[in-house]
Amino acid sequence: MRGRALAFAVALLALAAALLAGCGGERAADGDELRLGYFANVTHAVPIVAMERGIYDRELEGTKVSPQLFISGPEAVSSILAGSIDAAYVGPGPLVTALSRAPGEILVAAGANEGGATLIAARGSGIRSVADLRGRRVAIPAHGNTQDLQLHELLRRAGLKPADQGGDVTLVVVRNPLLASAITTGVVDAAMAPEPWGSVLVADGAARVVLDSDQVLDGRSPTTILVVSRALAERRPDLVRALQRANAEAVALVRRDPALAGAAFNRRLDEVSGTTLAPAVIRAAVDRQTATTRVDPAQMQIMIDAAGDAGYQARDVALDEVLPIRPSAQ
Amino acid sequence: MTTNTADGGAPGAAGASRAARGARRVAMLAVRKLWFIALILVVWWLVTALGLVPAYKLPSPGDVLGALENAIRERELLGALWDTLLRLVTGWAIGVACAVALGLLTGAVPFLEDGIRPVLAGLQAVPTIAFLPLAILWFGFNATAVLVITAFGTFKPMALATYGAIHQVPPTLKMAGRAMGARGLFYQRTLVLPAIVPSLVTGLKLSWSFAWRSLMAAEIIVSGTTGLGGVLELGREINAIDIVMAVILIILVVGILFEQLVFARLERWVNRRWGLVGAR
Amino acid sequence: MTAEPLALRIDGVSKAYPNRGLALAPTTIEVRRGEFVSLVGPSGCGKSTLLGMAAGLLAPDSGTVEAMGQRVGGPGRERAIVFQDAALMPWLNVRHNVEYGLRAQRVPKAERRTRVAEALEMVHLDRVADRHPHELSGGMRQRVAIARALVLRPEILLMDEPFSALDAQTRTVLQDELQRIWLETRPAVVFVTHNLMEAAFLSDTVYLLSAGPGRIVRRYEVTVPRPREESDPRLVDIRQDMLDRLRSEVNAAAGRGDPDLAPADALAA
Ligand SMILES: Nc1ncnc2c1ncn2[C@@H]1O[C@H](COP(=O)(O)OP(=O)(O)OP(=O)(O)O)[C@@H](O)[C@H]1O
Ligand SMILES: [Mg+2]
Repeated sequence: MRGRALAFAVALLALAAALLAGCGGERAADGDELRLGYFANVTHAVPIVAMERGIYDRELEGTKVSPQLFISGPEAVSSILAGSIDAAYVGPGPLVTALSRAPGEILVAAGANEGGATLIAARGSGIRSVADLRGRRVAIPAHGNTQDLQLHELLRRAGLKPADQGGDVTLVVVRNPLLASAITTGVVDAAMAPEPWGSVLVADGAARVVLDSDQVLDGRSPTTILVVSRALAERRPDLVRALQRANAEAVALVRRDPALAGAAFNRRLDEVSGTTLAPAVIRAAVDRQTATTRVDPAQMQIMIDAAGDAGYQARDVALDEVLPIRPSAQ
Repeated sequence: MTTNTADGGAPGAAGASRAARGARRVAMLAVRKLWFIALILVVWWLVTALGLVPAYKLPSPGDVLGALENAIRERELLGALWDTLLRLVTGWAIGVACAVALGLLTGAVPFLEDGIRPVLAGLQAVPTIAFLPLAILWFGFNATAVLVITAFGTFKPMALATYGAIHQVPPTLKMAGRAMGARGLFYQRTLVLPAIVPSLVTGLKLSWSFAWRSLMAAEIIVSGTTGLGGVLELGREINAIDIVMAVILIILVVGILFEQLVFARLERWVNRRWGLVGAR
Repeated sequence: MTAEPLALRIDGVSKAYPNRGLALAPTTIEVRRGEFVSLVGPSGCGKSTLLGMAAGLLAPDSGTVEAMGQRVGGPGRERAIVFQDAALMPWLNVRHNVEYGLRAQRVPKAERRTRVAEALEMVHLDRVADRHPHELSGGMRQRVAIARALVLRPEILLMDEPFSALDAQTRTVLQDELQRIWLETRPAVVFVTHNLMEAAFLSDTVYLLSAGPGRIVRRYEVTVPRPREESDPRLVDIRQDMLDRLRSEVNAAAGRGDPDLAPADALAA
């Protein structure tokens, strides 16, 4: 009697394990659909413009590109690992932490955007430089994201350390929509803010710029990178090359006319949330970033090292894991 | 023991066999309570050891233990656990106290209860975390807001449980109390409150789980407060499923310990004191 | 005014429950100080309702209740009630159960202690004072309920079928004890029972009520001197007369199709 019950329980668990093992098997795009993740952020102007202009569909002739909206990097890379999307635009932080645990599962196709982050401080906080952050509380959008890693590097260069590593700058995760209230109520004194939030808070008068985007790691730190799943790269290298072409085309378009990026972003924002940003704010936000297909190796090394120092990596990711695969790679 | 020596038999042998019997009973109890956990662990270990699932999707038990140990050493996990437990117990106690007080005060007046109860029942459908933005506006982006959310998450189910319990007090008990001259606060404190204790225990357990959920959700968002929720969120943010599982493991263990050490004892005590034999 | 002043005066009292019609037709009962009065009648005729109104736990729809000359508007110190299910507080031990009413009435602690001890002794419970209700037999529990009422030294003791959940032997013992206690303390008693022998044995006066809505159909005066024996032929005669009356009451009601009635045999306990 008890033996049978036990056997039943074992069978049940084995079934669950089998399901787990079987699920999310690598389903790559089989010619008819490619699922592409992106965010409704101003730093994602390149995919937004490309979608609006139908560039992906044109370059991937015959393969339908289904955009999937994400709100944060970890979900986007998790979805690639689960096989539920084939490609995505993500920041270097989630890419590095994901690769440290799932080596080789995600490949970099191309860069899309650089810069787009400012160090701002609450009005009246008296913070004028990174050195002034000593003993203060600084907001980051998430652990291990681009701005967090950038801040780690800025602090290191100024000889400071985050509190959880024995230093005296406290990093506080504040979701972007809460940043304004966190700054005005004094929950944090400063923030490493992604665009357009930095520009919004500065325009509001709630915060002043301490380091503008071109002073944050020379404005060359990658913020948006096009990545693909290993399955897609192995089975459909042609689609990866088509994605790279579409990405390059959209980057060129945005470089020629940055205002285009702002307008496209505002239209998408309106669709997604029913709101838009003021023209002056969107202009400032777009000015603080650069569309580019480049992924600067030195900057990526900085990101990897920062993620390592912060203890975010399960193993040290090698530089060539996060550099674009050759277009001709077969 | 003393009786053993008194009867002049072989006290040592009797004692030893009794000890053996005791040990066997403890062993049986352990098997009964732990067999399922052991089974899960074995299957989990097998699945990972045979490489059926890549480690980034399901870390092995060893990986999770390693993450646990690492988090304890490098991320002050124990401190976070302590902060969370303190917040949990405080918020829960506040929520329970407010709910029982409200239940007793308004449950005595049908007009008040009729007005309040539907609102509470409706609020049950609203996830407590939906009130977090409001709490942040009122109390700030800080631990106070988290505590308030925890207390509120406790309060809603507990208040309804209190109403339910009040309606289950036998009418003759209430009549007996009133006939003896008990009135007002004395009546509520010495008759209604103790009379509802057995049915409140269920509410206490229910609201405890609600407190956990509200607290975790709030800690995840209000990340300036140290706590398990923050560590859980960190695990998500840096794609570290082993950290996520380590935190889940901790919450599970705390849940089991609380059930066994606090609620089971409380229930046993209430059942004995209130004479509810055969309730288990 | 008679020479003997009234303890309880129930004057034209009636009660209807919402959607249930009349539970008790206007009823008048007078209870002298120290008098033992029983109410008997078919199930559902309104005996408990009447007692509830006398206790001040229910408000009558018409008529008035006076206890010791005062108009009743709620529970009062001169009255105490004992229910069929002892309705003890399970979380309190026997001593504290008995003490509860004294606490509610703010009797000083020292006095509480002596009065509780006295009451427990009266019902022979002093040895189990520290037990909880669930550790007692049904008979003991009912004794606690009686002690809990007696400790308040009521001038009017209301009892709603206090012995009906007990086995026959325990019941006989408690009847004897109640008689003894009553002779010692002499409160006025209003005693509801289905047991006709019990009513005849204990009472000075028995009121027999009709099937619901109840009204008084007959009043018996039991003049047999105390202490009494259950086998006393005078008591047996009275019981027989009551039984005949009740049978015809119940049968008449059954003819009217009253659904709330027990079969006539149930009355012959
Ligand atoms: N709270 C109540 N709500 C509605 N109807 C009630 C209520 N209490 C009693 N009744 C009804 O009123 C009538 C009289 O009830 P009551 O309890 O006074 O009868 P009783 O003579 O004590 O009966 P029994 O001998 O069975 O105890 C019954 O028909 C009963 O169904
Ligand atoms: Mg009754």
